[in-house]
Amino acid sequence: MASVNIQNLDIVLGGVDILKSMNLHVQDGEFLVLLGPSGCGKSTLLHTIAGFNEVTDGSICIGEKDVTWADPKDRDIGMVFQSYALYPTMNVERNMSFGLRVAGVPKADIARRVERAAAMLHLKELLNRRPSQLSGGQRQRVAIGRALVRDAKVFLFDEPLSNLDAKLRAELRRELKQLHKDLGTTMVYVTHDQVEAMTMASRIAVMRGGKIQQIDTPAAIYARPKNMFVAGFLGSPSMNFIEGTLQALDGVWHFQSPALRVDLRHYPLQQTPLAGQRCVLGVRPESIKLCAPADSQQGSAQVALIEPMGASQIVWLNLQGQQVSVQLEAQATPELERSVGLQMAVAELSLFDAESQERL
Amino acid sequence: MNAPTHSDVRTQGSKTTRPRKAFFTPARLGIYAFLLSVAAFFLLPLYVMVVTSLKTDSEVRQALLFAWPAHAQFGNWVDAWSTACIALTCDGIQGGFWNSVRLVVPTTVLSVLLGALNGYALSFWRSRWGNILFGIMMLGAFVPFQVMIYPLVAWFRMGGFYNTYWAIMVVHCVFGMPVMTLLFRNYYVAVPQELFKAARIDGGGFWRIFIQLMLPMATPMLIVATILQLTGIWNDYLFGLIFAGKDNYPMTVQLNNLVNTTFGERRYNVDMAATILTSLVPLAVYFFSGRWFVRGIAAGAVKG
Amino acid sequence: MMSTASQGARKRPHRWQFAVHVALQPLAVTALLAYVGSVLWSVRIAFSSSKLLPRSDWVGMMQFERLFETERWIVSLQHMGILAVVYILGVLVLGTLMAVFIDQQVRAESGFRTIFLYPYAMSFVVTGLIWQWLFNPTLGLQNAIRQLGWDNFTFDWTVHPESVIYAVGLAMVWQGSGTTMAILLAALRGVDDEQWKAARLDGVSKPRYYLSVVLPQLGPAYATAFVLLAVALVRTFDVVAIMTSGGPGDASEVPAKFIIDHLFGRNNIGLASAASVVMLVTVFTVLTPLLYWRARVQAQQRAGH
Repeated sequence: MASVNIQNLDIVLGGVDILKSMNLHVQDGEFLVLLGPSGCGKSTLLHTIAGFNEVTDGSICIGEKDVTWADPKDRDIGMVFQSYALYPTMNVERNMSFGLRVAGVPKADIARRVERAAAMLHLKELLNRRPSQLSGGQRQRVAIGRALVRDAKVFLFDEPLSNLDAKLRAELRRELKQLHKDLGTTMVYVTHDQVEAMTMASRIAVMRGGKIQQIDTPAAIYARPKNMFVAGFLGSPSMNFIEGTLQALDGVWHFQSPALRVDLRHYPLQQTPLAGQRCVLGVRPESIKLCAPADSQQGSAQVALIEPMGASQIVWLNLQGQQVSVQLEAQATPELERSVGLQMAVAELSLFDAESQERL
Repeated sequence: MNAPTHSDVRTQGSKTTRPRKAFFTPARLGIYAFLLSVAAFFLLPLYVMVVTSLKTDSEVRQALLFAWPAHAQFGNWVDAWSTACIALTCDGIQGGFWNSVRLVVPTTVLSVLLGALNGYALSFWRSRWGNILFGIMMLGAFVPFQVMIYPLVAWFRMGGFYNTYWAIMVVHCVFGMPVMTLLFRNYYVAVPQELFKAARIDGGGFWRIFIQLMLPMATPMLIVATILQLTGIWNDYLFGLIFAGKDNYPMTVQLNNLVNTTFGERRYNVDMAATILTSLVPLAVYFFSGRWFVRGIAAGAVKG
Repeated sequence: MMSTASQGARKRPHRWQFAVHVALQPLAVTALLAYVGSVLWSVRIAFSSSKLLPRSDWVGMMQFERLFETERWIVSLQHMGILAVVYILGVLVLGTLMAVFIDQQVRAESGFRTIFLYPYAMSFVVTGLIWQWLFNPTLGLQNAIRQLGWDNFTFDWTVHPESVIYAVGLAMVWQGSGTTMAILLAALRGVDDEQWKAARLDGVSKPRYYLSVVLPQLGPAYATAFVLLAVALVRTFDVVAIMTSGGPGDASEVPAKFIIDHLFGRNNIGLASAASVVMLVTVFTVLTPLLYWRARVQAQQRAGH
């Protein structure tokens, strides 16, 4: 178990700056998810921590050890690759023990470690099978098992669930989370799927263009996203963005748009706004309730479309030409074409400056 | 394998300095040493061939195999082409060259087209009969040709065209058919049936679809097949010897006659020049076809 | 050209079937007449006492018995055995080394490949002549190296009966390694390179990685290469006829040459056909299980991704 400390990391690959001055501290025992769209540098960062990419500048420390120039095998890490990278001609037991055999670990030791990992991952009956005889989920477990037997201090996961179908993905998500609970080892996990990030992470680092946009617990990132990119990336259906300006009305700051006026009294502003400042209001579908138009102090809209989702439903409103989504429980279905009033919980809102897209 | 850029390492806390990364590690050196030696092994005969062909007779007798000639004697090449003696005629090897050209070009075209036709017919008309024929053809590819030689000779004799141009042409088509058919069949099997059905709905008949759709579509295969056949037929020796008849001996047969059956002193420089001339066509095909050649090998290997 | 659809299903398939039948005539004639027919006829002749012309008598196994009492035939089989080791094994080993080393991201990779593959474009006649020349004691490699200072260098294998077959083997290895390398290299490139990362992480050295992880996956490619080499081995005629004429004496005789000589020069088609039948049976006995094995492994591998 160890922390991972990355300082001022620069990575240049093929003449392109992938990461610049990256600083990241992964705490001992936490499950950190690197989340972002493809091309944001998360896989590169992970592979660099593992030692497969050359560092142009900066340092990487795992625990007390500076591993910036160390060989992958000397970094006390285990890794699960996107394609699992199992050795096709070896059975499960040999796949897991290959590294140990090469290192000259005594046979009894190897057997003990393999057994322990197999028990943890429910692989005991599969030890003699070859990868071609295993299902996708089983192969993934073998890949994890291969990392487990190394007694590593940090586990690295490179989008391990992306090759699986939805149902299997959900199942293995839970298993991975349970595994982390049982082992307590530091885990760094790369994915582009925000559901995986939300459900599994102790902290999420949202990345874009080689930079970490925000790093915090899932709840904090979800409730208080630092910028519009992070706000739009997490949450499904995604956050509604409504453009407008900030006005001081009777000494109280309000958000003003052609169709809405929101009292920001209870909104924790981080900076002093300017009158007339152009901004964007971010509100999640579940933060909006519907009422009679007369009862709303914030605004009203027409019901345009309803998408039933089983336990809940998504109601699409036409807010003066803009589509706004509202998540409601299945029972209270409004009528189409009706005018409804909006009630938004101000504490759950996010306000962003229109130019910088940063949180206000 | 990126070479490190500037070593601008900031010193903060306990940092290790960038280790000196040597580019020429022993492993790299070993790799290049091996590859270069093997390359030398392969190039040696070619080098000797070229160098010897450009020497004068006395330089040849000096037997300094690697030495470059004092003055390149391209006259040897001219001799080999037009005046060297093969048995009792002294017209050089040009006759063989033209025989080969006369043979290779039409035979290549014919065998490639037949292969395409077979592949097309077999892949869009799946039936037991077709599969049986194809299976026989595939088995036939492994049959040692020795088993087939006498019966073919006998049939040609009976038909009255043994030792003629037609005999050797038929022989090459027969022996080339398995690989050609396999190439095109595998290619066409990957073409979706829907395309074919759409063409039929559009009113295309068997031949029209073949000529106007399937053949143009198979251009990569046509190139690969042509390369295989061109090289294979040009380089053939035995079938040319047995079936072509004296008037049609291909260049390879003439070459052997020129070199191995001479009266009097052997002129190695002219022999080597003749050898080079014989290799020019397939080598040219090889150099100009680049990737296609490798694809050809890979495709031919599919049969194996 | 096509009748309209309203004519019903009967008419269209009929015309179509006719065209297909016509188109497949060359295939049918070749397969049935040239291949099946000639094999059957050769087998028939092998059981007769034919000499210059075919005879329709039946002599049972006489030709086969006589065949295996013929010194020259036995010797040719032995030589084929030696070549099987020298040629096939030599090419497989050299081809593997070449493919693995080229796979190491070397500069001028395509240059090396071009050099390694060009012998394939040469005729066996050319190869035979070149190597005959190189093995010439007075004018070839031996003399040249001696002139450079190594006085005891010998390279006259074609002169001595014990070593001439190895000279032929060397020439064949020279000609054939490139194609095997191409096949193996293509297969190497198909191996998922994340396996190397996993192996690096496991602390496995590169040579060990190739030996334990990569090469075992190349089973089907090796089978392919082996089959092609075996078929080429059985066909070996040109290079022997040109390079050594089977000599000195019988020292480099091979089955294909034995057969051709008896078909034409020695006018004994019965004996030659018996020998051909023996070759045919050998080839199929060796290749059938191999091809079956390869198909099975390939199906397994396809399922395993």
